[in-house]
Amino acid sequence: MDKSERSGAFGHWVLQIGLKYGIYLLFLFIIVVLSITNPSFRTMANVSNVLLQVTTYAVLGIGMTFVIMTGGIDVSIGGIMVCCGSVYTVLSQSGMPDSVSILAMFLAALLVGIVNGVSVAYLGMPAFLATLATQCMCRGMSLVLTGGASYRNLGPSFTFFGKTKLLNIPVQIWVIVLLFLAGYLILHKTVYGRKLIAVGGNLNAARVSGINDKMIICSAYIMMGVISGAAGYLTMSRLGSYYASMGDGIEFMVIAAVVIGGTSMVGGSGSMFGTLVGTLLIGVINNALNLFRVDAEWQNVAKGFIIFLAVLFDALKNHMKQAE
Amino acid sequence: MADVKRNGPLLEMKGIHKYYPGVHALQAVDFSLEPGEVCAVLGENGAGKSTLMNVLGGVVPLDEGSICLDGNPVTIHNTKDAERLGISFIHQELSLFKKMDIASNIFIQDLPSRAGFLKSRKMHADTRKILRRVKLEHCQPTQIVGDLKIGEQQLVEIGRTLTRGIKILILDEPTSSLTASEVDVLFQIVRELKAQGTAVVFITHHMDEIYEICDTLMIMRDGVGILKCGVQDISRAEVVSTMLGHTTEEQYSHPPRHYGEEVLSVKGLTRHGKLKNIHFQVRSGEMVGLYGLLGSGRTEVLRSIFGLDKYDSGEIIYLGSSEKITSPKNAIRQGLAMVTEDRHLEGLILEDSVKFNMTLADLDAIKGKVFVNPQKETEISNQGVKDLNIKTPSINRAVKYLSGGNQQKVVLAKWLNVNPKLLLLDEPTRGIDIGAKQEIYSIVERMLKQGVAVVMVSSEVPEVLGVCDKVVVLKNGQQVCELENDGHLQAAALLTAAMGGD
Repeated sequence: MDKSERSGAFGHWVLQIGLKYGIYLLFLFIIVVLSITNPSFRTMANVSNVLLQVTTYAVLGIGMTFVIMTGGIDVSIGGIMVCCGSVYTVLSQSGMPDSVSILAMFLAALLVGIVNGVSVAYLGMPAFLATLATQCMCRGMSLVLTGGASYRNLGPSFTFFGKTKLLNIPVQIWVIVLLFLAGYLILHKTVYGRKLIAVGGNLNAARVSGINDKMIICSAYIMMGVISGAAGYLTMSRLGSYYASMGDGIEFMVIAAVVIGGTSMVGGSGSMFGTLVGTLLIGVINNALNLFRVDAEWQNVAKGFIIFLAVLFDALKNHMKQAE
Repeated sequence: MADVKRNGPLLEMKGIHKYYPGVHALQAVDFSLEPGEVCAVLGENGAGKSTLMNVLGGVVPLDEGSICLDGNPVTIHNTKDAERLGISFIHQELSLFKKMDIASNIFIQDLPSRAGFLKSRKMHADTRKILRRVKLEHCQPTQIVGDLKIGEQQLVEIGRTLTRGIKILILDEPTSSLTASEVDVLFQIVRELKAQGTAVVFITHHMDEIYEICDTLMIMRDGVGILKCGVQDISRAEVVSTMLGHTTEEQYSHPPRHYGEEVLSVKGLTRHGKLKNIHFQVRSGEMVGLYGLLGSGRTEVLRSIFGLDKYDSGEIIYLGSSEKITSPKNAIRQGLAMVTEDRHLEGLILEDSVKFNMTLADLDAIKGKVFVNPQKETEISNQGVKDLNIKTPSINRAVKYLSGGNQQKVVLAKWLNVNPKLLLLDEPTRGIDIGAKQEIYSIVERMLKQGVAVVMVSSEVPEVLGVCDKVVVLKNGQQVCELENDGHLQAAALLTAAMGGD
């Protein structure tokens, strides 16, 4: 009896550890398996390739972590990316200097972020629908501006971030590392981050404690907007081109990465490090599917299945918490 | 409908026991009802009246004892059992679907249908009949329940129980949210039910209503049924003294206090439909109690002072300045602190650590140049844990794992960190054990000694009498009186004022 009780407790402990660190263990497991079974996986070129492929997800994941921590969601990010891209492209094609075009692009991102933030925080609109609406408007606006055309050969000052290497590592990867570090510090080490976590954790308690909840929520969407602009910028500099379907459907992969990383959809708990790992996990799985030459059609099925598992995982974790 | 001609009691509960962790909530309680009897159940907070009715209504199972209905022994495991037996319990928080129409609400448990399709016409016709019975002829079955007035909603809920034959109707504080005319309608319905042989139980505190509508009353105290008798056989004064008993289990005492300057002056505070013309002053080092029954507006007064709710007229003068406090943020900056009533709902972020919660109201204190200063944070938290004797293995422990008393101390510590000049306490000792209560009183006493002014809302008479210097009694959002607690103030005087006795 005593023994079975202890083994039961042990089982419970294993389950808890599994749920808490499962995502990290899964990540390590996949890396180890791939390294052993597929020699081309562990080449430096491939690692760099994986990282470059996830840069867009990674940047967006930083902003999305802030938004989801408040208990909100932002599905306009793909729209903001392509809208910003079109603003740059149109201005640049009409002969504006790059500095002006890039500035205009980020102002557009800021503007959409403000619209999102004010709608959700101050006008009380449901986050999903408000940002869905801005997504539609943004995507539509990009078509209006460019007529749906694609543009190649963006200027050299623009593509600097895409092509240059520092210490033999692409600049984009350095940018990601810096942004994650900044995101981590803001969320976990500043008073602002404190307030954000408190608002997501218990809105009423935060308000009574003198935290300006509306301003905090609003700021998360504004930050997300600017970050989406940056994601558009980085994507275009990497590819050296603008195309109308840029960022299409990216919001759901980003949300999935954040949730896989352990951030709770209801807000109040999560971590920036988790988002990083969640993003890398999606990148590695994509890479593996390519390395094993899985058909594009089946790749989607596999991706969907993996997201399904991750969300199931999150649900189980919440269930365990409630059982306590 | 119930058989009126039959003799013998409709309901007999015998030797009912109910245990909660650490509390013997019901101790061998007997309770019976005749057909057509209207009975008021009275008692102070925690006397066990709600628990007894919860047992009858199937909300909680009983631990020992027997229940007989119409002379037959029955077992009630859950609310479904109770409903099947014809026992309906209408709670304070209505269980209506506010976004659905009246007809759906009334028939939700047994929607009339054919081949899966709703029989709307029949449902609407039946709903009209029910609406007539509950005096809601002016309402349409297709009206959305959420759009009705709160009193009308309550009548819809009663209407719902009329779709089945009911033998016993339990109403928990039914009139606290009703207007006078709505109360009249409710009483009319009760009289009709009574004529049909249905027994009605009121959990209430309003003396006038008890003497108007009830045949009998039952008084409970500390989990024991003290007496049950006809309302004409007992005077109001006797009711109050029986409720209180002669021994107060908890003894409170406090050292003499020294008052300073006036800190807060509330003049004619009015908020439409909630508060009317509230007046009182608090000096530094003084503790004022706000006492009243549920729905008396006691919490609303604090919320208006703290800038959480707006008010329509009147003045709140804080430290001689009548500048309005517009938000909690503004209030905290000016030296106010508020321990809210529900620590889970408004006090704590349960998933987060002691340290996180404790520093939340004064984040500026832990601000470094750019980042949170972990040393300061740890220092403040450790100091709080030490000063308030909070039992936690570490300041990094999530507060949800702490006991109620320790959670409350974390809330208090959070507010002491802002160094308040005026401390607002809303039921600061609810649901915590005696030891923790005493500790909280001594912490507050320490604050008073440092010259902090305190306003405390409490629904516990011994607590109010034990620790407050002055008591403002509220009833239905209005101030009944202000009583000086000079050591001679009687519990009965307080309760009588709040209940509207003469």
